[in-house]
Amino acid sequence: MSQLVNEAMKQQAALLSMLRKENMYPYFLEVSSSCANHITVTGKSEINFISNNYLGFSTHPKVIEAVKAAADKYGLGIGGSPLACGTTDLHYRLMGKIARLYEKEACVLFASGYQALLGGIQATIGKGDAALLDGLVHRSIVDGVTLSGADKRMWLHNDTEDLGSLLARAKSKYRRMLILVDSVYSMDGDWADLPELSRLKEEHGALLLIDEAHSLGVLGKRGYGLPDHFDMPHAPDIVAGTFSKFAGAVGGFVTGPSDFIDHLRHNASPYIFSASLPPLEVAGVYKAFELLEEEPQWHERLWDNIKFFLKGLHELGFDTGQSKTAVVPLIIRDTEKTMLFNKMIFDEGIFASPIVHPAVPPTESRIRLGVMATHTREDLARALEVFGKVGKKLGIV
Amino acid sequence: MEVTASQIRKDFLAVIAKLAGKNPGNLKDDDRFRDDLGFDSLKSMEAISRITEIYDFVPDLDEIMDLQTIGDVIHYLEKKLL
Repeated sequence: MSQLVNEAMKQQAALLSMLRKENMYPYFLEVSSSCANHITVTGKSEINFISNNYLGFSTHPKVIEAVKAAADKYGLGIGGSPLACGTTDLHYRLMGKIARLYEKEACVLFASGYQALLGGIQATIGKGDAALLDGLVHRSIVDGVTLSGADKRMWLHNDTEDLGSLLARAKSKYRRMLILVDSVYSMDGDWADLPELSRLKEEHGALLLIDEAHSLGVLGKRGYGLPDHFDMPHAPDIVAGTFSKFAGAVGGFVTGPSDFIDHLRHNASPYIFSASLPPLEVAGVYKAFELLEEEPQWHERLWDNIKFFLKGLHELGFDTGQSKTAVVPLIIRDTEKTMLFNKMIFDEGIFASPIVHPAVPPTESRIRLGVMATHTREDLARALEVFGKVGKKLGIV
Repeated sequence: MEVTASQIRKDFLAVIAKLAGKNPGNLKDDDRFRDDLGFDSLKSMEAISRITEIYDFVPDLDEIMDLQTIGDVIHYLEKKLL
């Protein structure tokens, strides 16, 4: 091994090597198809439950058409940061659309969802401020707070009583307090209590940022996310998100008051020092936003599938935790059984993702599943059949 | 009010139980934060912040983050606070 690998790294490498030897290693498998309801993995066709492409828009013909047209006009990329030559008419059009959708004044686009949170937080708070994070927020939020220099305080997942108590204790010590939540939690599929968060932020004079990653396209009557679901468009001060889920693409955004967004455009390092999102990507994402309005059947189909699938899993006796959305965990609570379950369902044609320690505590080991609008009833029924068979074999259900 | 060893134990177990979602009575001195209670760095730092609030005492982060079990931290706090 090279000198770059220390003792702790060697321990991890040994574990990975063992998994590879047993043909159980489930990560970075080679995919050679699009991310549709069926996907080709290591040359084998599988039903796709690993994706966040919930609405299936990444392969929608109208999205592909928009991408091709933009590639013809703008080429592969724009060759610079947004600050230089990287903000095209297509970028302005998409920023306007997102700001209107969330009923905010302005929007800024980032090269990824991770960067949107990193830059959106880094440039907003700093020393003397407090960041109050739900215990299960995405890593991009944790890293953004670390980069900002603000004090990091955690409250128990979705426990607004714990948050209220923390706000009351922190209030006198800080200039500003920023509450940070995921709208929908990426490993559990439950959502944030926006009405209570809004009440608490008003009571304690705090600010609220929501990460719409797994919510946009899923929650709300129109699929416009958590604020749409609760009909509270003005509850969050800042809305951030990614295109990697609802559009199955890449890129991220932050939307909020125009003076704040202008500040981000001039101060968010991940924005200033990254190349701009390629116009072909921006064109595809814009079309995906239009599809939310033009073809609401995808949103409806997604919810039909979520309800059918969750009901089927519960009837089989699986523990899906608090999930109410397209993110569905099968909580197995045993690392070895989780890895085995994943291998056995893969052999039966189901591609999913095992989440084990240290990503979650060993007692929370799980298979993470993503439901798609483009899953057919046959896909879902086949998955339930396989899960039931393997679950019984391993004594999980 | 004078701090006692039993008060330190009671306060610390209350903080850890809340963050771990467990009953304080079910926690053991040899429970490991990461492997048994599932604490990540965010939760560990929050535990320290909450103890800091109770005792108005700022521990050395390098020292306290090296401690693996509930018993180790209680022992450390007793050493620093009594």
